[in-house]
Amino acid sequence: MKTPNPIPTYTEAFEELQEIVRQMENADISVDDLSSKIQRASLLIKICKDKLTKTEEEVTKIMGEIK
Amino acid sequence: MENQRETFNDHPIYTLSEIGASLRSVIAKNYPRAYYIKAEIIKLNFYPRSGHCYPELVEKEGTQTKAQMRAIIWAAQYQAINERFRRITGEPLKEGIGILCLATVEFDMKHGLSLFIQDIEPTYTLGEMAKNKLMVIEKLKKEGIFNANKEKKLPLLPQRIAVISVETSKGYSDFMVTLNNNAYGYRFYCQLFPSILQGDKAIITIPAQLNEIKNASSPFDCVVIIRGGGGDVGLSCYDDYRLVSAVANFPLPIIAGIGHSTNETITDMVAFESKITPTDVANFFIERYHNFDKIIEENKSYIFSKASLIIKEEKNKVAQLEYFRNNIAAQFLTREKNIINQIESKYVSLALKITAKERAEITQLENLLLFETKTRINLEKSSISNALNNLKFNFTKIIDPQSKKIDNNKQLLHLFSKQLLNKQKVEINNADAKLGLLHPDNILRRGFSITYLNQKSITDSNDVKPKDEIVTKLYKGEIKSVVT
Repeated sequence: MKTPNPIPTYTEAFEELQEIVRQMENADISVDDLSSKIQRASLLIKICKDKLTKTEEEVTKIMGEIK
Repeated sequence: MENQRETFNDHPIYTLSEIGASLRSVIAKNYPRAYYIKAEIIKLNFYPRSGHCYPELVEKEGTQTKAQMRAIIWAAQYQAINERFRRITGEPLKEGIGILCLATVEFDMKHGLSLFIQDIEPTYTLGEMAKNKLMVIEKLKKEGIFNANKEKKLPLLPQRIAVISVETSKGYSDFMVTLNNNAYGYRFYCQLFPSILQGDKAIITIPAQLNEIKNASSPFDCVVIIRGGGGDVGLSCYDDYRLVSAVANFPLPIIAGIGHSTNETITDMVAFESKITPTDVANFFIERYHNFDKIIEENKSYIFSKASLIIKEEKNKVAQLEYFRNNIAAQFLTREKNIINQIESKYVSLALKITAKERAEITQLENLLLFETKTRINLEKSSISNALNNLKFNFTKIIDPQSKKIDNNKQLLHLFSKQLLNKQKVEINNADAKLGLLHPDNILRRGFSITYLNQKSITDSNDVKPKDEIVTKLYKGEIKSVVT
């Protein structure tokens, strides 16, 4: 079984974020899932944003702290 | 009258200067003016101290040298010729290029035969260079690598950038400043791989640095080649097959910022991306980051506004349900209850009134029904037995005469068959008696005999040959005999 990477790469994060947007557009998200999805989206946005403004070494360090 | 000439075996002996003088006068006489000659410079032999240039010219056929001659460009002409050549072709006079020169042919007694170059026509070389360029493009296409680098994948956010450039060059500084001082605070990791960027040496050093990048311990996302500030001279190296094929074949995407204003080089054509200036290359990266950033921002605002919208909608739904429960549902329930109560009380009183009278009526109806049913059944029974009797009577009326007729026929048939059988019997007996007369035994009894050959009766004496064994059958016994 494929275990999901707890810290996705920014490409994975970007794709997952797009998927969440798609689900919301199609009203595929129930209210029960909403809060967990929003939390996930926040993490994904942070990963993507960090990639833009920090070099890889810095990002790895920060993600380590989050964990 | 000159001195007596020495001879050898009656042949006159000449001095070297006599032969030289003769050659010089013959050449001067036969080549009286300057000629346009096309050739390739195989060695330039420029001496900066004196300013003279002694190029070695060749004509090649394939890889073979077909002709080779020394030439001389005096310092007085060299500066002007080289300057014009550089201005028009973008390259100085150098080894390996084809030229069209205007030259006189002279023989010097000390230095031998030389071409004295008075002028060189740069447009001819330009044409040669264009032809070579086309040939290189053709070759790359034929090898299937012309688009190879373009097909490489550049990560969404290229962060580790290998830079081939010169640390002190304006192009490198432009690139780094634009990249690192971007307004959005995007961060990139760059590593410089210093290299000569123009002239023939670039053909060797750029591929060598590409190789370094390929073997670097931590992988890069892409390579940029940054040049700038050196003018447009010496760029023909970016059309050279050795450099261009290294770029085309490189496993990482290469972004070229060679910085030129004239013709696109083949390196620009085969590179993953080509920008004219180093600043453009930096902006290429910043734009890519910014586009990504924009999408993330859009997603972010969409997700959060959509989420609050969803929550708001849900809240409304809940509020509606609550209102319904609190007001409408309660009202509805009370009304229903009232109606049910009313119906109940009406029904009970009505039911009590009805019972006694109704019961008597129902019993009466029951008795009536029973009587009606019985009468009906009896009626049906008698009509059925009548019908049966009728049927029986009609049946015998039809059947009786028919059966009598059949009995008569039966007796007649019996009689006829008996008569027919007797007649047949008499005929058979007659036939039997006749057949008895014809039986072979009856014939043999009268003295006839049958002769057999191989168990077949013989009726013709020609059927037997001498030495055949025949059997003669008599009424009693047989005779075996041999034909003679």
